Amino acid sequence: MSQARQALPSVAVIALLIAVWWAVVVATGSAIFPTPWQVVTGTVELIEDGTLWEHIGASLLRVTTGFLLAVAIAVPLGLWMGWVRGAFKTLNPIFQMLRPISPIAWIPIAILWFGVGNASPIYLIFISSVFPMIVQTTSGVHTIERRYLWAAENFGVTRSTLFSQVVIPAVLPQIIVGMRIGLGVAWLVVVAAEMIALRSGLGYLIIDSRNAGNRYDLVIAGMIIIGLIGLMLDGVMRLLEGIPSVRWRYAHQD
Amino acid sequence: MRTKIEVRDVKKGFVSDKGPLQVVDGVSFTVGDGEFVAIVGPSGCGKSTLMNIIAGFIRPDQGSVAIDGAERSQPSAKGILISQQGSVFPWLTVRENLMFGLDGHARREKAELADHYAAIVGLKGFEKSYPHQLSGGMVKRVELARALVVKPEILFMDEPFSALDALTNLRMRGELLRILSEERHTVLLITHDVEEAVHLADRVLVLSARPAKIQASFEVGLPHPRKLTSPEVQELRVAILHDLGAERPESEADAAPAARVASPAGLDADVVIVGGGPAGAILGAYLARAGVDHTILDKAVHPRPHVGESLLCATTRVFQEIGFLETIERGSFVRKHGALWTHFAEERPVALPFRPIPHLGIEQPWSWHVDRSRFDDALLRHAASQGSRVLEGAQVERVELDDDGRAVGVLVREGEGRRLVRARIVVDATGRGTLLGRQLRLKRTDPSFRQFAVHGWFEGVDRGEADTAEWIHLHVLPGPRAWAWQIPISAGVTSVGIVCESDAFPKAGHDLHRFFSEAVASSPALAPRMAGARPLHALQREGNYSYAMDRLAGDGWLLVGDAARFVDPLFSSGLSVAAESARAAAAAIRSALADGDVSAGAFEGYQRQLRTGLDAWREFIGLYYRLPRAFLSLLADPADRELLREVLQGDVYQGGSFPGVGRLRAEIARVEADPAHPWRAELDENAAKSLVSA
Repeated sequence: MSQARQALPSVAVIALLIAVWWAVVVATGSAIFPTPWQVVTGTVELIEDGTLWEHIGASLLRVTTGFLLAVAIAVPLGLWMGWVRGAFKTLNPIFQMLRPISPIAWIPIAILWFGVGNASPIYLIFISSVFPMIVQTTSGVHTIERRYLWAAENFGVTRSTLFSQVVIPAVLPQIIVGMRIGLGVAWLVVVAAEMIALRSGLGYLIIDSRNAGNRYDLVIAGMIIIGLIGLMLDGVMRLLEGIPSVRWRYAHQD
Repeated sequence: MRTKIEVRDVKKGFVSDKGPLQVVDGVSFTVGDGEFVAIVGPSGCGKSTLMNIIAGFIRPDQGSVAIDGAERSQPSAKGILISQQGSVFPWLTVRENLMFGLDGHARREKAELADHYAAIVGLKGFEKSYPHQLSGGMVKRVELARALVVKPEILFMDEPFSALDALTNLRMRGELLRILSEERHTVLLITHDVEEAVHLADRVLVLSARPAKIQASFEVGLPHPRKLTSPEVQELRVAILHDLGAERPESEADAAPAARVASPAGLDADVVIVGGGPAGAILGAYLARAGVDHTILDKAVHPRPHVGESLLCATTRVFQEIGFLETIERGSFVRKHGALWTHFAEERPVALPFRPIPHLGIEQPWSWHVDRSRFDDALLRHAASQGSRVLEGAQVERVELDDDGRAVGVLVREGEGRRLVRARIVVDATGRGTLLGRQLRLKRTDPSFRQFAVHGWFEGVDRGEADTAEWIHLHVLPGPRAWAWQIPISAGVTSVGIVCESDAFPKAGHDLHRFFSEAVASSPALAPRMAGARPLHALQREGNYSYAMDRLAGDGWLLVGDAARFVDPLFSSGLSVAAESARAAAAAIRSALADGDVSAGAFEGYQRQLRTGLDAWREFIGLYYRLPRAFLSLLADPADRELLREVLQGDVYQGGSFPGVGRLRAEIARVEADPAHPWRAELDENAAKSLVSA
């Protein structure tokens, strides 16, 4: 009940936006810009001929592959950099320099190295999401409170226990935050990458719809679907914050 | 007894911004096998550093620590450290935490051992819970169990229970003693709490202020369980406190707050006073000097901030009677030699220099301005030194009444639960918290005085003419019932506050600073004083809603101080009401206990006496607001000033007719009766109404 009530204002604003959109299109008599209803029929068209699922599947596959690769590299590397001071001092300046370079700037090099197949966007996604996760993991290790490390030292536990029961669980909430950021960036980047090189994916859908006959109803349908999937992906990552052993770090909800 | 721990001439310093800082300066002592040694010292004296060195986490600059004769350079599971913050892993369940330090066992065995120790500390059923699902006391039990499960030879406890509420702290002590009686460990405890040390330890070492050195050692040759109210324990406590305080007699306000604690068993008393502010503390001191068994429960841990910073001359008698005057004089509070009024439409200020009050035995013509956090703390500590049992951090939920409405004690929060502290008489000294007023619905707010105050401490306030610079200055402002105070707190710090009607007051979120500056600017006297003022902290705001109570006492209960009534603080009456009501309550309680009658009837005299004073204040304030200018004109007249002096110096509790109040009433009646009087337009209708309803 209260959730429904909380959602009410934003639903109202969306409805208002759609109404204004509709009214403006009708009032100006635009031949190209679609009405909301045309977007709906366009979407139905995409669903019926099955291309929508192909595009979504292609985009998600690329994001998943690139993102998981980034996780596999970033988490161990971040832990190592956080724990070993020399590693941090050596690698951190390099990563800090690479981090602010927009993934879009990597596109020409990605095409040069990996061609126009799936490898290019996967590489771009990897590049864009690996740095935030390294940074979060490293700072997670650095911010482990001394009292916990002292307690581990006090009980004289083995190195493997120290890592598996203290360091990694202590950093896990930060890693999850890094993953949320990383996946968000990855989804942004996949669409941009697909607009340039590929013949499948939601980014391609948008560019292709425009180029092949000014189908702006499909452009907008693609945009809305990208937004919705982005929201879903973030929702999936947020589920990770509900794992019992990381709840201590987030707001207490019990 | 075999030596377990030997600390030899340990020294440790740190490099800080202000240069090298010696923290531990040559500490040596030994702890026998199975012995419980407590180290007490003032806060920030280097105790924790010493503990971290002994436990092996920090290396000393000089000296050494040997365990069982072997020098120690790093921590080991032989001695487990339990610190104030605690180090229970929040990402592991209770069971996983307890299994953490166990190795060389099969997983099943570990889990069984963990559950066994969880049960020992009373956490059966919580094995799968995460720490954030437990209360503070329960997490502490997890930490204790996690240490015990590895069967350490030594427990290093650094303020282990300090972060807990008072009653959970006491309960944890009991648990620790019970466990130690079953499993023998050597324990080294560091605490600022002298009574905790005496309660638990075989031997107490006293550390000096930083750099820490051992300055005394006390054997506690008393068997367990120890009764904390016993004369032996109290004697030892006082002796240790004396040693602790001997280092710094000049600043009693900073001495260890540990001076006041009580045991759960010792909480029940003839009289329980809820609230350790001035009213509660003064009553405690009176009762202690009369030998009445009582306990003071305070929810705050002193020192704590409080507004209301000026005293009145007549109150000095109370401080004389409870032996507190010397402490005030030593406390370097600013002497208040008088009061000065300015009016926004008048050129000249009006002054009231204070005079002695011989019939009350008050010879000095001054009172004091006090920083309430320091003053209230010193007062509560004075009560403790007189023999009051004081428990800080005790949340009283309500007064427990029997079926006939007689107060039989109070319910105190203890961890997740409640504990009943029994008493024959309950005194509500909770100030504006008005515990009983709310519980029994006695409270009537005064419809005409719904005021707010915005105030703060400032540096660089120009206090005006040298001879009145250290007086209280009261500035009448143009708004309805608006005025400002200017109180010198110390040589450089001045408290300035604006009081006004709540209607005129900025609502939540509005700009307090703008309101404050505009109010200051509206006073031609105050504005130039504040030209170079710098605030020392953000402005504070609070409601000053005046209220009265239907009754001030009942069967087994009394109200004192602000809990009995709150009036506009215009005439600095707050501490006066607190002190005088406590004085009267002490007398009433003594005779009630002596007669064995604690019913409402026994407190009739108290109610009457207190009402006389309170009503005088109330009427005087109402008259003042009716026409501030009439008050100021009387004060400017030498003969009328002497009539007003009695009230303005706070001498209103002895009964009588208060000729000053009558004079002001007559003066206002004269203005009201004269249609041509120039001040007629200034008559405050609201204030008149309030007089009727009072």
